[in-house]
Order: sequence, then structure tokens, then C-alpha cells
Amino acid sequence: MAVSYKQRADLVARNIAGETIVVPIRGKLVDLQKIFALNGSAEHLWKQLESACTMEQLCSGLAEEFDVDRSQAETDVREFVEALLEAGLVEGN
Amino acid sequence: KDKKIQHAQKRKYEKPRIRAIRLSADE
Repeated sequence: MAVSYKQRADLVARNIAGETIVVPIRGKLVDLQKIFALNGSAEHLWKQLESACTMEQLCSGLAEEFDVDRSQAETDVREFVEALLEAGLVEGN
Repeated sequence: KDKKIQHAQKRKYEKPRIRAIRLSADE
């Protein structure tokens, strides 16, 4: 069964001046050392991750919205999800 | 023709990136 990924619950995301900013909330505290900004395509993937998604679903969503070929989308989505996992912004199950 | 129109409506692609913002103590 394919692994699915989802945004962690302890995060707040806001669009500020056209850029999506993600801020972790640990306990009741804002972690000001872990603020992240997402570009346009990353924001699209981030919205998909509001509900659990597999790599396959993320790739399809990206390829539907953007002018990118499938193999490029797969490579980029894999790298992006790895970066999100490393940053502690998503969890896989 | 429909395929071409559909293709044109897609957004320009940029590789998805996440950028960490580090604040100084003063900030």
C-alpha cells in the first residue's frame, strides 16, 4: 500500500503578500525559528496535503495545474515531500 | 485544438520549493 502524506496538525499557514508562510505552533507557542515560505507550485501541493495524499496523487495534481511533464513532476514532488518531512511539516503513514 | 487550449490554460511551472526563514534575536 502506498504511503500517504498529510500536513501536521500543529501548523498555521497564511498567504502574505502572495507568498504562503507556514508557522509551526508547538504547545501554545509559535516556533519563530521554524518559519517557512512556499512558492506557487509548492503552495498548490501544500493545499493538496490538507488531506492525506500519496505521491501519485500529488504528481497528478501538479501536472493538472502546471505545464510540466509527468516525469519531471514525479522527481520534483519526491524531493519536495522529502524536504517537508525533514522540516517536520508533514507526516507519512 | 482542445488539447492546445487546455495546455495554454495551465500555469507556468516552477519547481516546488520550501524556504526556511530564520529570524534574528532582535526580529
